[in-house]
Amino acid sequence: MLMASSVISEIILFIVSLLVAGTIAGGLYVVTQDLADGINTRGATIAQNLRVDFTIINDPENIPLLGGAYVFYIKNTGSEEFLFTSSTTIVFIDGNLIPPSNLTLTPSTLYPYDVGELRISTTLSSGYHKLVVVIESGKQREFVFKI
Amino acid sequence: MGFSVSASFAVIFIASIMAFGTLYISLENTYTSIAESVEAYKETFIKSQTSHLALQGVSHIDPGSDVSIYTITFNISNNGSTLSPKYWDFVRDGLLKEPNGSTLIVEDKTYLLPGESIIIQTTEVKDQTIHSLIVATETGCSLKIEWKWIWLDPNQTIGQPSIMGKAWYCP
Repeated sequence: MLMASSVISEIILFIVSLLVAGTIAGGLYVVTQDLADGINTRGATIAQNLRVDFTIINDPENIPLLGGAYVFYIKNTGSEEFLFTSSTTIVFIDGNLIPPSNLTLTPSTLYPYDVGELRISTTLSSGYHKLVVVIESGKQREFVFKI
Repeated sequence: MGFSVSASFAVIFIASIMAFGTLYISLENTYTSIAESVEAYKETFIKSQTSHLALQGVSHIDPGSDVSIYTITFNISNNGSTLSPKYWDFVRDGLLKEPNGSTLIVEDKTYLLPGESIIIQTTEVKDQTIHSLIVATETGCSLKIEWKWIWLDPNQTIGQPSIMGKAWYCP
């Protein structure tokens, strides 16, 4: 009788210990996967950010004004394409945010070495101004020009 | 009791090894990806820092005093690392302009090796306005040339373009 209860106890202890070990292993798996996914995502973002670059190639002394909009030329000087739309691009002039409704960007994707057109419908006084363009990856370029 | 401890330890040990393996693979992939990007960034940075175009010479063709336009030719030399003119863009008097074979002609060259030159030709009106041409290279660095037509005699029959300024700059 004593022998039988000892065996049952051993079996219960064995099952419980396996369950505890399995729970710990499962927790470890979930945490590790989460960490690995985070590292992969962050790494991919950093890697992409290093590959994306652009330059504003306008003549700083001669900014075209076409149809009430100032035209700026954005050249992709990186090795990867990036989205070039009013929802993915933020534009500041002299520190003031230009609303997306005042921006016209073409084409919607800029491939390496391509030049896109950024039209900004705004009024600027004569003198020096600073344009800041920020693209989806967070990369930004400044451009000082004269009107 | 002893077997339970051993089995539990084995389960946790195997799970730990698998977790370590997953993390290691993830870190390895990320490291490789970032290392490649850093290498590409370094190459681009070095290329932009070592590129340099310079205006070597200017010549012009004046069809005659009765014609109001002239052709100006810029001889641009590469004083830096190898560049690819096929990836260049041109801003003429503020506006982006594609080489069209008539008002803007760019010598057809796939590469511009160090020490080599390239010819860029453009047509302009004989006015007193300062004109400009920006050659934006693939590195983002640009060469800007400014010139103006000046008359050499009071009757305005003989004249020539005069370079007002030139600059090589990088963002």
